[in-house]
Amino acid sequence: MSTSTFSYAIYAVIAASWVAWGAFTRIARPRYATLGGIVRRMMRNPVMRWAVWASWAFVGWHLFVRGRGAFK
Amino acid sequence: MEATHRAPRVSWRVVAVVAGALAYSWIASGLRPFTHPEAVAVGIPIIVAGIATLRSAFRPRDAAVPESRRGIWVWRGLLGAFLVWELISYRSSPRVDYPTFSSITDTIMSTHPGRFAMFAVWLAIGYGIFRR
Repeated sequence: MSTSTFSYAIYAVIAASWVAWGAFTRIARPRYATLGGIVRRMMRNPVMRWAVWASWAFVGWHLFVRGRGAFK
Repeated sequence: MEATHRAPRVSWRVVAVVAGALAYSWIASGLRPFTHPEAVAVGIPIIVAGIATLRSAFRPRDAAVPESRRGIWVWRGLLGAFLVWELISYRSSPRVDYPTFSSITDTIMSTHPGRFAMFAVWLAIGYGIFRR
């Protein structure tokens, strides 16, 4: 297995686990914390809500405005 | 016995908002990165979300339904795994062997439809978070 295939496989495993756990927590709610529930709880906290906003804004700015050049 | 509830109907307002968001995403994703028009197109939703966040601080708190904390460590673990692998990839080279999240999304966004899809998803996530 080449290095790049291995790298993509790691991302794929993380993404698949994310989706699987997200689906499981939705089916098993309210017993388990869903991603939406975690975000809702964060948005109730006066500091964390700005952290969520900054994270979302950073992702958008980095992806669409600056491209990868933001870290070069 | 007569049915007491109907299937939820999609209102014209929702259709208009979704159509507007998709049209906005298509226009914004057609703009070139590193340009002022693209900065404005991305900046507008960020400012709107910031205003919504500010307004939520002054809104009276509704009776929050207690939510489970069970399994929260799994979410932390997944986020941690992503961040660690992203950092390892970022510190390694060449990029073709160690792709980062940014380089993967750059590949997806090399076409207008791909860039449109990414922008629409980013906008939808923001709407989901800040609409309350």
